[in-house]
Formats: sequence, structure tokens, C-alpha cells
Amino acid sequence: MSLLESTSKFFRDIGAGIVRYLHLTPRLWKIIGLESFIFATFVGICAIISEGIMLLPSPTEPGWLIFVYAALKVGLSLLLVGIWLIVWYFLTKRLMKNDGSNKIKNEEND
Amino acid sequence: MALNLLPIVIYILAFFTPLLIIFVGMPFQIRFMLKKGIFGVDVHKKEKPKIAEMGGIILLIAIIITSILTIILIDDPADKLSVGIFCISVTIAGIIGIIDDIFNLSALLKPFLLLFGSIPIIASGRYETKPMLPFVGETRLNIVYFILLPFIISVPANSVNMLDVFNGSMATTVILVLITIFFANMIVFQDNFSNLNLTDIFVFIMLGTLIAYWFFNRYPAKTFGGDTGSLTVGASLGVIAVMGRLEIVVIIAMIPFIMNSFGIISSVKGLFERRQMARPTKMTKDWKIESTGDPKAPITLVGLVVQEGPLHERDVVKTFNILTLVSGVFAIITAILIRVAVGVTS
Repeated sequence: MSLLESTSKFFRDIGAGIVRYLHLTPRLWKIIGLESFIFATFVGICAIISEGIMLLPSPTEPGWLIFVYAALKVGLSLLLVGIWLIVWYFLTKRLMKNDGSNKIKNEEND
Repeated sequence: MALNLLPIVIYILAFFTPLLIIFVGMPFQIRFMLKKGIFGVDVHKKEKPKIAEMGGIILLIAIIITSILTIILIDDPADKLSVGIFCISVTIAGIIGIIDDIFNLSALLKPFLLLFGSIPIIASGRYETKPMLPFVGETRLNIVYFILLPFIISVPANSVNMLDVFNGSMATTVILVLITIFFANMIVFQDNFSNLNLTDIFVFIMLGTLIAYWFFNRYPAKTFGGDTGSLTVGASLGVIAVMGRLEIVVIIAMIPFIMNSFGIISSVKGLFERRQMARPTKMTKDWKIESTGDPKAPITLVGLVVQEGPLHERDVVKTFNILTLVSGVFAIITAILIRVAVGVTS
């Protein structure tokens, strides 16, 4: 195979690869949607921590109350992360349930 | 301003040394393993070919040699120590992988043993308890960070291990994660290559390793990395996240990996070995992968990907790459938000 032919084949293969990727992307929209949701809610939680939880008033006098307030702020943030994980789990499970129903529908059509 | 060439030389060596070692060593490893009868059967192929196992050993050797070479070339003793810690942590994970490949460790014992991989990081104090979050900037999570630190090797190593199920899937997805980390590091720390950056060294070592490995593990695979390979590579991501102070960026970049392992663990309510669980996928008559529809099967990323219909193994790997690419874009956005927040707070 000449250099020209092999170069042309190389670029054709890359082109075919990109087309294949573009062809596969639409079938992933649900999972990409889930990824986007996970990311967006995470950024949302960070915004809530920054603009809400971090701005909660803390005692100015030194003492154990400062530690309690700091622990409460961390606890609240972790609670939000916990809720985020639970929502993530249920959404993933729901996607899988759709899988089952789609399968039954396909079998009925057959 | 004079250009400091030493960092560039170290980066080039960090990339090309493992690449060369794997290209030279892997064919010998493949022949040796097949000769000794250490092979696995590729169940996703009609011909059921015998594929050499434990290719990860060459990956581990390449990482160790490159780390030693880098330690010799670096001047700063603190940086030498950091590269040494990277090498030791990854080696511990790799050795656990070798033991697992030989003796099949239980699903609980493996993550437990991997906790030991974080001991070098904890003992050396090469970490900061101030992870950076978007909007928030630098946080002070002394207690929480210290509680989470032992899991920094175990969690990514197991996540990568759980996604290493198809030819080339681990190599391509982790390469995308590493490229993301490289750019995120540039964004967050304004890295301009004039000074030596440890994260860049680690990223180049792993990129060289994985690009070379991909040539042997891509469809149709000539070798399987085994748990040795996946635990080694996964552990390296954990070390890079902590020592590079890019914990949140790495978590976001690894969303597809986390989705997969989180789905499996939460759906089967615990840690189980692959052979203990119902199979989520099966092969069609034309050798494509489809969902079994078994309600007892774990929720996996493959299961989600093939829900619209059966897919060829190569296409399943491509869908993993698409999902990792998307999460990589999100990780870059995270890095930009962190940079903005850190710039505001500093």
C-alpha cells in the first residue's frame, strides 16, 4: 500500500470513527441527562453551601459553641450530599426499570 | 527569561519510558502467560479466544521504573518523596491485584486490603485537608477529610476494576480522565510548565502507561490487565486526586465509574464478586451484548447503555468513552468554578 493510500485510509478510519460516535450519542441521552443532573445538583449544593450554610451566623466569643456551630454547618452540608446520593440512586433504578418495560414491549411486538 | 528545560525533559521521560517498557515487555509477557497456561477466555467473542492474563504486571513494572527514574532526575527532596509515595501506594494496590488474580480474594477482603494503599500518603503527610469546591473555594475539613482519606485508594481502584469488563474499556476511559485532570490542573493552579508540577508528572506516567497498554488491550484484546492492571490504574487516580489537590475534579471526571459501582453496590445491597451475582447482560445470536432483564441482576452502566437495544462490544466501549467525555467537560467546568472561587477568596 502506498503512502498516499495508507494516509487516506487513516483519515477515512478517523472519519468513520467520529461518525460512529455521533451515531451512538443519541441513544445515550437518558444517561447523559442523568450525568448532567448529577453534576448540576452537585454545583447547586456547592452554591447552597457557599451562599447559605457558610453565611449562617457563628458565635463570636471563643468557646465550645464555635465547634458546635462548625459541626452543624458540616453536618448540614453532608445531609445535602446524602440526599443527593439517594436521588441519584432512585433515578438510576428508575432508568433500569424502564429497561425492563421496554424489553417486555419489544417482546410483545415480536 | 530563560526557559527551564528540566521539567520538560522529566515530562518527556515520564511519558515515553513506560510507553517503551510496555511496548517491549508486553509481547514477552503475553507469550509467557500463554505458555504457562495463565489465560482467560474472552466470552464476548464467538470464537472464545484464549487471552493472556495479568498484563497489569507489566504496567506496574513500567510505573515503578519510571518513578525511580523520575526520583533520580528531580532535585527537590520533597518532590522526590511525593513521587516515591505515588510509587509505593500504586505498588501496594498492584500487589493486592496480583494476589487477587492468583487467589481470588473475597469481595469484602479486596477493598479492605486496598485501605493499606493510603497508609504511605497518611504517614508522609503529603495531603492537605482543604479540598477545593466550586463557589466555596478552599474548605477546612480536617476531621471529615481524615475520615475519608483511607478510602482514597480503595474507592477509585474498585470503581476502575468494576468498569474493566470489555476490551479497551479501562484504558480509553481512564486516558480521558487523565487528560481532564491535566487541563483541570492547568486551570486551577495556573500551571505554565516553567516549574516542575507533580500532578503533571503523575499524569504523564499514567498516560504513557495506558496508551501503550491500549494497543494490546483494544478490540480484539491480546492481553487482559486483570485486577493487577485495574487496581494499579485506579489507585493512581486516587493518589493524583489527593496529592494534586483535585479531589472534586477527579470525582466529577469519574462520574461514569461511580455510577457503575454505585449502581452495582446499591442494587445488590453489598459487595459481591462478579460470579456471585446474576448476569446483567448476555450475548445475542449475532454476538452483540444485550440486557438479560433479570430483576436480580445488578444495575450496571452496560445495562443502562444497552437498554435501547443490543450493541457490539466495540460500540459499548465507545458509549463509555462518550459518557466519560461528557463528565470530563463537567470536570473542566468544575475546575473553572474552583479557580474563580479560589481567586475571589485568596
